[in-house]
Amino acid sequence: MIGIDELAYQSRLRQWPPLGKFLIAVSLLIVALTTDSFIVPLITMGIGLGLLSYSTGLRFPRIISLVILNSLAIILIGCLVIAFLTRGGGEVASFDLLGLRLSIERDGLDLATLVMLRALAGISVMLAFITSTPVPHFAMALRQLHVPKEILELTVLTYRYSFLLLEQLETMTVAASCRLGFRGLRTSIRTTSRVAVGLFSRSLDMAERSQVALNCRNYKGDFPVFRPPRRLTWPWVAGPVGLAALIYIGNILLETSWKLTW
Amino acid sequence: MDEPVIKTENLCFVYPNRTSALEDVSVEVPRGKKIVLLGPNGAGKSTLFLHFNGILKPRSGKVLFNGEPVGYGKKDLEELRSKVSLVMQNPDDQIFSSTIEEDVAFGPMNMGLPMKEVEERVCEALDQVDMFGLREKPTQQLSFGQKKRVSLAGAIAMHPEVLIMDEPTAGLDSRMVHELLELADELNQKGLTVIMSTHDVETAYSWADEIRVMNKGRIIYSGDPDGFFSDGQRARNIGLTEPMMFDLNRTMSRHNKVPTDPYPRNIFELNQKFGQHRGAMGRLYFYPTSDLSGETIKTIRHMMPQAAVGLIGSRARKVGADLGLQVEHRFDTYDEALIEVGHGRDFVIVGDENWRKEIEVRLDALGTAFGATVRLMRL
Repeated sequence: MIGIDELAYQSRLRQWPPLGKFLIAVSLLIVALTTDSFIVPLITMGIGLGLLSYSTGLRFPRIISLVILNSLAIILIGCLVIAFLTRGGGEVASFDLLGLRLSIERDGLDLATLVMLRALAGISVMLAFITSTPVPHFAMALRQLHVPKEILELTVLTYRYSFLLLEQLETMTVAASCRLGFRGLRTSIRTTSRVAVGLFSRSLDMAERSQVALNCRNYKGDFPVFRPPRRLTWPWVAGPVGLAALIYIGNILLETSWKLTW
Repeated sequence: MDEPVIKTENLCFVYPNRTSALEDVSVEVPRGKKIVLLGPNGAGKSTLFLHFNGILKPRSGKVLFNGEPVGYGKKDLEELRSKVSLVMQNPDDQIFSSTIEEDVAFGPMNMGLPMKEVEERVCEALDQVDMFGLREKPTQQLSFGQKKRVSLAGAIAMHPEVLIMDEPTAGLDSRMVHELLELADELNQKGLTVIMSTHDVETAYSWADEIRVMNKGRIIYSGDPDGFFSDGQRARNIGLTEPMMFDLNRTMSRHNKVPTDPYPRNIFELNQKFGQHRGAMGRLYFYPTSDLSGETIKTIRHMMPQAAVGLIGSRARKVGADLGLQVEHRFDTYDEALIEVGHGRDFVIVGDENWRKEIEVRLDALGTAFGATVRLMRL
C-alpha cells in the first residue's frame, strides 16, 4: 500500500484529471471485454503498459512486481482450467498424465487465450490508473460527480489513518519480536491476537485525540479542499471514449483481416 | 500593567474516570511573553492547555481571555480557537490531510477566509517552518521532525494571538530544537504570546521569560526561572533537576565567594560573571538578510578572514540555503556568536531587522547585568 501510494504521488501523470484517468482505464477495459478478437486486448494491454511505464518512469517497486506475479499465477491457473474443460473445434494437443488422458481442443485454447489477454489488459490499465492517482485525489475528484461529501471525507480520513495504523502495527510487531513474541506457532498466534486488540484500542485513542485536534482548528463538520484536483472537462471525456470507440469500430471493420486465432 | 492575555481563576477539572486533573488552578499568562509550563508527567499541563482554547470546560472556576470570561457557545469557541492555537505533542494526532499544504490550509479555511488570503497564509507559514519546497508532499511520507514543522505551520497559519505548544521539543534533534526555539522567538517578536510545556529544564531556563510550574494538578510556582530553581529542593521534590547553567553558577559563586545573583543563562554570561574574558573581545557585526547575495559571504571573508559567520532566524536560514552559503553557524547563532566574541574572534550575524533589534535588547540587558560591553555594529 505504501509503495503504491509513493508511486502515485511521484507519477508523471499525477496532474492529469483523476476522473479523466479513470475514464481511460474503464473505457479501455470495457472495449477489451466486449470484443472477441485477440488483438483488442493486446492493444489495450499495450496502451496500459505504455501509460504504466510513463507514469512510473519504469520504476517498479517490489509491491507492483508482486501484484503482477500474483495475478499472472492466478490467471494462468484459471486459463489452464478453461483450456482443458472447453470442448469443440477439434483436438489440438493431447497427453497422458498418470494414466489420465488430457486433451486441449481449439475452442478451449482460443477461449483461454482470450481470457488471459483480457485479464492482462485489465491489470495493465488498472495498474496504470492506481499508480498515477493518489486515493485522496480520486476521492476529491468524485465531488464533481456529486458523490456525497460525507462518504468522500470518510474515504480520505480512512486512507490517512490507515497509514498511521500500519505504522503502529509495524511498531507493535517489532516490539513483540524484540521480546520473542513470534517464537513458535502458539506464541505467534497469541501475540498476533494481542497486537490486534492493542491496535484496536490505540485506534480508539487516536480517534479521540484527532477529535480534539479537529476542534482546535475550528472544524465545522466538513473538510474544505484547499487545492482540488483538476476537473474532468469535455476533451477528457471525448478522448478516452473516442479512443475506445475507434478500437471497437476498427475491430469490427477489420475483423476478418486482423482476427488472430490459434 | 497590561492585562494578561489568558487568566484562569480557581480552575478545577475532573476527567470522566474521576481522575482529578486540575485543582484550584489560578494562573496568568502575560501578553507578549514567552512562558514555559514546567512539570512532571501527569502534572496536568496538557489538560490546562485544553482549557485555554475551550476544548475542555472546567468543572468549576473560569478561564478569561483578554479579560473576558470564555464562552462555550459555538461562535464563542470558534472565535477563541482562531486566536488561541494549540500545537499538539504528537504531530500525527494533528495532521489529517493527505498533503502538507492541505493540512496547513485546514484552519484558515475553517475560519472562512478568502482563498487568496488562505494561499498567502499557507505560503507564509510553510516558509517560516522551511517546508515550502515540500508543500505538495503527502503527509504520510514525512519524518517525525517534518511532521512537527507541519503541525506548527498549521497553527501559525491561523495567525493566533497566543500560540500554545505542548512538548514541542520532545523527540527532536538539537538542531531542530534550536530552530524551533528561534522560530518561537520570531513569532514572539511579532507580538505573539508563546506558551510551551516541557520537561526540559535547560530549555525552560534559557528560553523562557517566565515559568509556571505544575505538580499534581496545581500551580506551585509562577515567576522568573531563577526564583524557582533557587530552592533546589523544591525542584527535586517534583522530579525536576536544576539546569546545568544554574548549577554551575551556584557552585562557582560559592567557590569564588560572590553572590549567585545575577544568574547567567548562557556560557558567555557565565564567563563574564567569573572574569574569564581576560583578553580582548572580538567584534560583533550584523548584516541584514535583505542585502544578502551570493557574493556577500565571499566579501566578508575577504574583509575579515578570521571572522565567523552565522545565520539567525528562519528567513536568513532559507536565503542562506537558497544561495548555498558556506557559514559556520546555522542554528543557536546568538549564543555561539557570544562565545566566539568572548574568545576574541570577530563574528558576523546575518539576520532580519527584527533580529537586530532583539540582539541589541539582549546585549543591553547583558551589559546591565554582567557589565559586558559588546556592541552590535552594522557591516
